[in-house]
Amino acid sequence: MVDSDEDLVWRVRRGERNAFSLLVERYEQPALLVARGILPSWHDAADAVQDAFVTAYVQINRLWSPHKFGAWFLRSVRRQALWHRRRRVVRERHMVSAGTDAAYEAPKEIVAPVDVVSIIARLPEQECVVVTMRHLQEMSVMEIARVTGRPVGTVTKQLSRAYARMRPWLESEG
Amino acid sequence: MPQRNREMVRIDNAFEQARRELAEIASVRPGVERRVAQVSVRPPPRVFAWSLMAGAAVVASIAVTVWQARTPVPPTRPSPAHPLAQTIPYRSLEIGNTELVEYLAAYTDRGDIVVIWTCRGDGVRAMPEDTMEIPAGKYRLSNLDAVKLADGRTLVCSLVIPETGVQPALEPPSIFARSGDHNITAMSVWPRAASAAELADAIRSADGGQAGADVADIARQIQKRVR
Repeated sequence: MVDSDEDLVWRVRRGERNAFSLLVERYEQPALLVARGILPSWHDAADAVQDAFVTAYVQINRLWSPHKFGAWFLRSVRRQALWHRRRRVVRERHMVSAGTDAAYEAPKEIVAPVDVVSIIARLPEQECVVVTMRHLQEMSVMEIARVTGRPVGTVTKQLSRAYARMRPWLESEG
Repeated sequence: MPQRNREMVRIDNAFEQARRELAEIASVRPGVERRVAQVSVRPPPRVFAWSLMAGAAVVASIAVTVWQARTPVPPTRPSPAHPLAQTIPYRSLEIGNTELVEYLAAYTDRGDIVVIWTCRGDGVRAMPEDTMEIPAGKYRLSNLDAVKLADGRTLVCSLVIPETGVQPALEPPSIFARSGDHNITAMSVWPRAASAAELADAIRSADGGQAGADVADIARQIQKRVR
């Protein structure tokens, strides 16, 4: 039996850190995709997601509707990613070149599937949650409905809307 | 629907590729758990307390509004004055021991002026001392009645008849009183339009409740003279 987001949030509020680990496991990949759509590397995206998780944990009592944890958290991820990008831009502007170091080897950037992450990053949080759960974590519509606390019809509708938003990208790929 | 199936296949392919990429990324979970162990959840915002305070403020303001609505407000406008109050002495003159008080100077229908006034002082008498007319500047002055009141005042009802072409508003007439040592005191009066009731009230007001003046008799005399 999969715990719903609402149950996990209430357990976290009661002090169960394990429950938060389950939330991290559930939303890590969608969050990475969203952050990667904003940031230039997976490494930066992972930093932003980690910060977003810690912020979400600290501020979990400020979440009005626990069943909307997913959308609330992805919004936080988006904010964190934007903040990281701004910080990165500022850092690069003030970087002073000290020449090249032959011994230094730049970390290898993983080529990301930018197309799908960019389209995911542009989706509204609610739709982003259901799409990633459906296609990334391969959950059934029933499971998504149980986890997010939404009716099955709502999940189906949100998936359809997300597909409609993704259609232009699919056609251009096509 | 083949088109829809094609879309699904593309989406699945795209996500498959994303899944493969994500598999190469180290999980953020250990880092998150490490950092979460060092922090604590912030207490919930005191929404309840703030809501309670806001609610109390709203209830208090409603209570004050209701209380103010139910509390009788003292009249801001003066209550209607007694009719006599409208004819209170509005001009008085005091020279030595002579006091003249004008209660009303009113136009009659014919354009003459009736003046209700009183005089007081040692041997002070209104001029003229009888009912005959005397010239007084651009007017002719006569007293319709003069009643000695118990408090020593004399209530006088004078009739002032302007000469032809005289504008009383611009050239006000005067009333006169002579003292025991033959000094004459004059006081200008400014006539206005007044009803018979106001005239009666002025006589009663000048009389001061002493019943020395017969209002009806004075009114009759005025009617008789101005007719």
